[in-house]
Amino acid sequence: MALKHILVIDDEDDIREVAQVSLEMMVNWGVVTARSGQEGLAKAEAEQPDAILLDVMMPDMDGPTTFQQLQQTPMLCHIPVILMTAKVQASDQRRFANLGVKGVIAKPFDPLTLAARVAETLGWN
Amino acid sequence: MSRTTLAKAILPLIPMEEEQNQQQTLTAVAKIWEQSKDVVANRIVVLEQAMMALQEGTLSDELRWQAEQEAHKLAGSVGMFGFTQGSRLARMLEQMLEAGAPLGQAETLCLSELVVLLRHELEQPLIVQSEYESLSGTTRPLLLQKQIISPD
Repeated sequence: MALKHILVIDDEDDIREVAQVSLEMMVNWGVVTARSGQEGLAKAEAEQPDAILLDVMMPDMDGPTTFQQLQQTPMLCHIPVILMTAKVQASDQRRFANLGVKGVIAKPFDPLTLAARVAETLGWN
Repeated sequence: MSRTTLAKAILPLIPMEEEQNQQQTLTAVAKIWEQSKDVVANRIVVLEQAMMALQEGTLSDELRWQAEQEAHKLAGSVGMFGFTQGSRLARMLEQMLEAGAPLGQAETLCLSELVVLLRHELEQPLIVQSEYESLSGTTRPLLLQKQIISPD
């Protein structure tokens, strides 16, 4: 699998850290992280990642709002986004999928298979 | 060395490299768990405070909302560390604490028991251990799982 550069946006320290070590150690991808939607937008512009893993529930700017901001920014709207959420009800999953993201990964995720799920979702296999 | 012979020599190494990656990942995840324990403990304290207020009939909307948020965060995180049952318990708590859901005597008892179970579950130590003994003497994939402690 080709090396990729991923931006992980999540306000929870443990989830950011586990996602980072998972993607770096399992498949040697490069990972940058952000703890808020606002920080994520700035890092997306600076880093131009191959994909963004975006938490849904964050204070101040939540995941859907961050996604809308990404879509409205010409330099960022091409970057595929996968939402991460602990909301497991079907209605929530449908609502998130309808936003236009590439996929939704349920939390908690398995650190050993996260990279494979991202690759599968984005057709990188 | 022919291409076929080279391939035969390399192929067995690929799973071993994957195993090493898994072992390194699980070891790193276990370290993150150690660093996260205080945050997790604080989340459970909020749930316990909410249960106490609920039993005393003084649970405010604000504390209920806060407890629901903490349950949501636990549900979405502790399973990464191997606490799949902990994630399930936290999700049950989150759903029962959602605004509008009834909180009568039966729900109060159930919620209180769920919080006790959750605390007990998350107090179990994690260990990184071999999934199974190696047949060839090489290291096998590791699992991050709770240490099983005999009740006696």
